[in-house]
Amino acid sequence: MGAQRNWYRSLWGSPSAIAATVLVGGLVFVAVAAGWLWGHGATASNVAISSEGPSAAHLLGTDPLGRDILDRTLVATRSSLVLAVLATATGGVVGVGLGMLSAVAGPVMRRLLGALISLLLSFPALLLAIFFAVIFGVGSAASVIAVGASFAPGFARLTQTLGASIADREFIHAARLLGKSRWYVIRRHLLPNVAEPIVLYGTVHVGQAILVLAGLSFLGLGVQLPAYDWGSLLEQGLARVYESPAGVVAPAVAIAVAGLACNLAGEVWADIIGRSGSARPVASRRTGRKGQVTSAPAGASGERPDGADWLLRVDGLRVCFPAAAGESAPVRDVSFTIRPGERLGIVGESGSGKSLTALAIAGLVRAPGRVEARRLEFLGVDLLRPSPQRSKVLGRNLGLVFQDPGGTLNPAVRIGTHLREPAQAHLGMSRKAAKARALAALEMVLLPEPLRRYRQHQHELSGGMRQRVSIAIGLAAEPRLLLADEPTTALDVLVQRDILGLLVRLSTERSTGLVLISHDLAVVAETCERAVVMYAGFVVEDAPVAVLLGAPAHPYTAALLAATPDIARGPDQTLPTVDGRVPGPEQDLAGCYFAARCPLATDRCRAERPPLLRLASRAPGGADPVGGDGGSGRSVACWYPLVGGGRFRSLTGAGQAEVAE
Amino acid sequence: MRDLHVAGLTVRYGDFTAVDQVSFDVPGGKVLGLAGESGSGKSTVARAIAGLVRSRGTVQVGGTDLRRARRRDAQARRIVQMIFQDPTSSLDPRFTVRECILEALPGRRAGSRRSMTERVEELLSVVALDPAISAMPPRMLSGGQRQRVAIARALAAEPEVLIADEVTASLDVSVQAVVLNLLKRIQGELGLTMLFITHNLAVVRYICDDLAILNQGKLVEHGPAGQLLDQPQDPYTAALVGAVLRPGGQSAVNGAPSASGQPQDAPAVPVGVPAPAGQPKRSGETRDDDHLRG
Repeated sequence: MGAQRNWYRSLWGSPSAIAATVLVGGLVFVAVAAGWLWGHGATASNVAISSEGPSAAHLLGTDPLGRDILDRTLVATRSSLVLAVLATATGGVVGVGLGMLSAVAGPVMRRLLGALISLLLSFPALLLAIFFAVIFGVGSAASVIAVGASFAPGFARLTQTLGASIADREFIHAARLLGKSRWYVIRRHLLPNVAEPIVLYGTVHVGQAILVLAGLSFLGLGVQLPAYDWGSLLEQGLARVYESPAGVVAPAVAIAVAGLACNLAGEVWADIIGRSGSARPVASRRTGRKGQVTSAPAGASGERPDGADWLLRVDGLRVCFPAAAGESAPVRDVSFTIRPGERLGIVGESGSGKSLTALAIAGLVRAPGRVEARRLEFLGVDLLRPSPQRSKVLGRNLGLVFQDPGGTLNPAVRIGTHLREPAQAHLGMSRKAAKARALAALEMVLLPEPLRRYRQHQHELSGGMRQRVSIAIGLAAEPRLLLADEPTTALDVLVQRDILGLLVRLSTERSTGLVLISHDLAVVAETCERAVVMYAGFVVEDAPVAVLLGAPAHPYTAALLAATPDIARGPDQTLPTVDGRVPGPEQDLAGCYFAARCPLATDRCRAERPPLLRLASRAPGGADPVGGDGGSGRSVACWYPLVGGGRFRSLTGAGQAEVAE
Repeated sequence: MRDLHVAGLTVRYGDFTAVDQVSFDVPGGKVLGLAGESGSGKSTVARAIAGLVRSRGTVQVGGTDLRRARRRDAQARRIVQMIFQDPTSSLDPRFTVRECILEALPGRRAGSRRSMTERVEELLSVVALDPAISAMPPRMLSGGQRQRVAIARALAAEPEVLIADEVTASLDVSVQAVVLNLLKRIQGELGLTMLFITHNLAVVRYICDDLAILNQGKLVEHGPAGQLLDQPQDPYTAALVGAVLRPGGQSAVNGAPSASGQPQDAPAVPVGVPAPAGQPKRSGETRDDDHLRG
């Protein structure tokens, strides 16, 4: 159903799509039917009406033998199109073959073939076609081969590039490990995966083939009499262009229309390919326009936080995107607060919404996405509505560090410039002062030889050094809060340890708040004082790290902790696991989102969602609503929190399912 | 249950020696963990054994020289099968789950269609997947499910040696646990000889009998996994073990001076970590207090 609707939309959905469908349909119809409809007028010579101008009987006049020029142009459609398709197919087969060969060949062969393709590519197609026409002689077969040969290098280069990107993929290695032949790998794995762009390239090239073939015929190298195509008609018409200009117009228009049709068809085809691919709107990582930000019309608003000085206050944060059916909400309900200098870890697996939470705080959720919250305040400034204070407070007081430092740094810009420019722009510093400050920042993150690094580009640094630089950038404006999203995930353990240590030290020294987002409980355990555990877009638990790890209160936290490998645990244990998957962002459940996977779930869990409640220190069940202020206590979103070690052990010991048999 | 014998394995890319004279034995039915940082050459060792990159040295399975056997018969490649890190790119997006596994079954022409289908379903149940997914393309599966399909494909080839190359590195913690348990169970049941490549020493004890540590293409230490983790002899091994974070929060990061004293990336021997043999560093006695203070 959906697929059909997509096809329909691709073929009739836009003016260019309609034009392409009509034009290609018309051309194919004329090519098939012209012989029967206008064949007589095109071939029957009648010297009596030789070389006449346009008239009612002959709309575009007649040629020297008295044949109708319009009829001849229409009948020539078939030969022109067939020759063009044949020429493109020839080029395609030869080119794709060459390209595939170089994709699977050994290094020496690959280099040779690559050089050959590059060499052939450097000649213009028409020139090559003329050269080949001289070799193969004149005539339609020869011109098809000539044009095909001139197209082959283009196809070969495209196939080689596409093939090379696929040939390094692991499924190709897997096929080789199965003892499959090269031919098998090409046929079953490489070709199907590169087919779409090649067919697209071919469609557009049919249009070019029509042009080049017409050119060859026009030069007298192509189709020979008595056969004819648009090119030879053009040549005949040109001979008498001053007597009867209409004779040139008909084939010229035909060539233009056919070329246009092929290009438009290529566009529509690309559109179809694009739709069938998995294109989903996802929040931009690290760049993006500011999204539409609205405030949820909730009652709780206005009053100031109760005495404490909050750095960041997130209450009822929800981030959603328009989806095929309704809405998709990767972040459903997130509440937490951070005090100055506090180190908070946000832990969650993929799909928990942890990164999107960070983007929402930083105002980086892209346009179709919507950010809603009961309250989203940073240093007392409302982040939900765009305002000058909002831009200022985010620009100056929030530092960001992302997982891939290489992606954060512009490869063409020196490290120093990255550090210097924001200070010049935001703080109005002189160049010299900004440089001194930048060098101090590099020293602060313990980068060896800061002056040399200042002048280097990012590719000259190792991954760990780059991450140090991005931390230096994140901290350069001396922000009150540093948001670090998986800052060590791409790094080795030794480097990870140093970077985490650096984050801890800097946040302590300058009393900068830290939000560390990670999938790894161990990373958060090492770095943070408090941890927020996220699941399916909800905060399920919020507690001091030691408390959380010692006796998790939410069954998900317990399961996550139990599944985290520990270097000191004995060899004979298997890791406790939970079956099932995280509910997707489109799903809308009434109850607890973990209920389907929870060994302790009851009917109540499935029917009614547990709110995030503060747990009284040693009294299970004695819970108060906390809303947005987690504070230093402990809160959990569960009807049956596991408090005390006994329940935790029973859960991981017996309740957890092993891999389902 | 044939053993894997590797001697003097060397892989060069131009002037760069990625793997330098690496030798080890994996007894039949045992699991050797191969650990090291990125760039240590551990994946290259795997690919060299599998015959995916050119190498020098000896690689024997049960006394048969693999390189010679492969030259005689392409089917000899099936003796060693690999599971790769990225479950997305290790399955052809154009194939269904069924086709992925079917492709790997030996003697495709000989078996009847029905027995082939049965075998596919059997393999899917071995990796704890619902046979109903066999008509789906990989993109409709989760990362853990894809990795299990990759395991099923490797098993379908009926290998003697299984190489798992960072198979859980791109998976979530809870999914990692599922895949690790599965690999451990299958390895035990089928008595496979296995090479388990990882950068994460925390998972080693769960699955490996022995452990070898690679640093810059060279084998620095090799021995029983428990012994290596508890009493590392080589300073580099000690550094690696010391840097592993524990969910209990007891390793050397939090507030420890070792990190701030080490400006270099990945130093050969970090100063903060004791080189001598003995208990790996557990300098975390005050850690919990730190957490409580916050």
